[in-house]
Amino acid sequence: MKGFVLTMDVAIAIVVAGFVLLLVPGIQANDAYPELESKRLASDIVAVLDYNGVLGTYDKDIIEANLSGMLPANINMSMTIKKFNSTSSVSQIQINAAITDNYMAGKWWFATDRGRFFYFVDYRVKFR
Amino acid sequence: MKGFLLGSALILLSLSVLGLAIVTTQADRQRNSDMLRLSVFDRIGDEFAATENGYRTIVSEFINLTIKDGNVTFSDTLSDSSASNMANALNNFSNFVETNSGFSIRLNATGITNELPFTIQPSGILYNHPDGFGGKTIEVTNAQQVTGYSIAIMLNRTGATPVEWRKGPYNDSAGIAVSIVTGGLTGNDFSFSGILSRTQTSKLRIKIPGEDMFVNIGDNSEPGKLTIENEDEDILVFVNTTIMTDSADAFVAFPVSSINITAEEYNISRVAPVRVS
Repeated sequence: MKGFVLTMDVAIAIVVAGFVLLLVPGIQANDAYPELESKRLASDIVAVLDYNGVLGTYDKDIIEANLSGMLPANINMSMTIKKFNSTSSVSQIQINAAITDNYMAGKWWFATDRGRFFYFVDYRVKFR
Repeated sequence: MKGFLLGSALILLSLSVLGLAIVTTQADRQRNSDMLRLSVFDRIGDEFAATENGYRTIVSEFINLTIKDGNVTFSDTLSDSSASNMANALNNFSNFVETNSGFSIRLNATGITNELPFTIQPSGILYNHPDGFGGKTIEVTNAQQVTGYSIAIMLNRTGATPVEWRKGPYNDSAGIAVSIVTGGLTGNDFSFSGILSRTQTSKLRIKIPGEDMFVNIGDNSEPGKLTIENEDEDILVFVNTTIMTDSADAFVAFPVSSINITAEEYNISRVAPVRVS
């Protein structure tokens, strides 16, 4: 009888453990929602920086100052802005140190000087 | 009997747990799929907004387009052979976007580059260059809801003089507030500020050595219509125009241009005209 109860106990434990393991990916997936929200926030910030002409200055200090003023304290964001004339890449600037792991990424582009220069923005964002 | 009951109960419990696990896994997969789709929607929205803003910036810089309190102001140069610069800039930007987009993206800027028409919404007022952007004519039609025009004309030619100003009789129930000033004319420049008829044409004729230019306001078949025409295609005429409406949230749309972004693998696409507000 003791052996039977022990076997049942083990069987239930295995089933419960399996159940918990199966739930783990679901728990992890839930974590992606805030990540997506951080991406949404980052793209809104980039859009605002473009609309108010900050990105168009192509000045690292000005862009970093404006970015830090808009960014919530718990979010880290970096940008690489590549400048092109109508045919080829001219130069690039790095806004904040590039984030290299566990980030959400997005892109943006804009034009200045009556279309003489185009800019490609590659931005990355993550929670601190 | 006890063993059978315990066994049955255990099997039932196991099946319940297994069922729950399957449902959870499926919900998890669906959630991941939804997340991916949401992310694609988000990226398409970003690329659309960035492209639209790029067009807005280029066009606005070329014609100094501003929109404030329902008033839309822009500059034009009539008979300007360098107007194709804007077309080149827009086409280059279109190529740049198509190269860098992560999606299948098709941009149609032809409508902007040819005649640079735009509508002032929500009233649907149409501003157009019938013989092409940089040509000799500006037209504002579908202008029933225009409340006023402010027009400044600068001629870069000695000997140009205003020779005729004929006001249409003001017999409308609601006229149109107009101010016109000229600069660069020989002798006295011309200025007028007052209410004009929407349906009876008021006409200013400026004599330029060689040819004339005209400003016509009001039209029997198209009330409120404005036409500015420079018949001397050898000289540049700078025109700064404000179209006034009573809609505080007016915006400008380029009706025959469009941005078409498609993510084929997700069966998602967005097609819409370029809007400037």
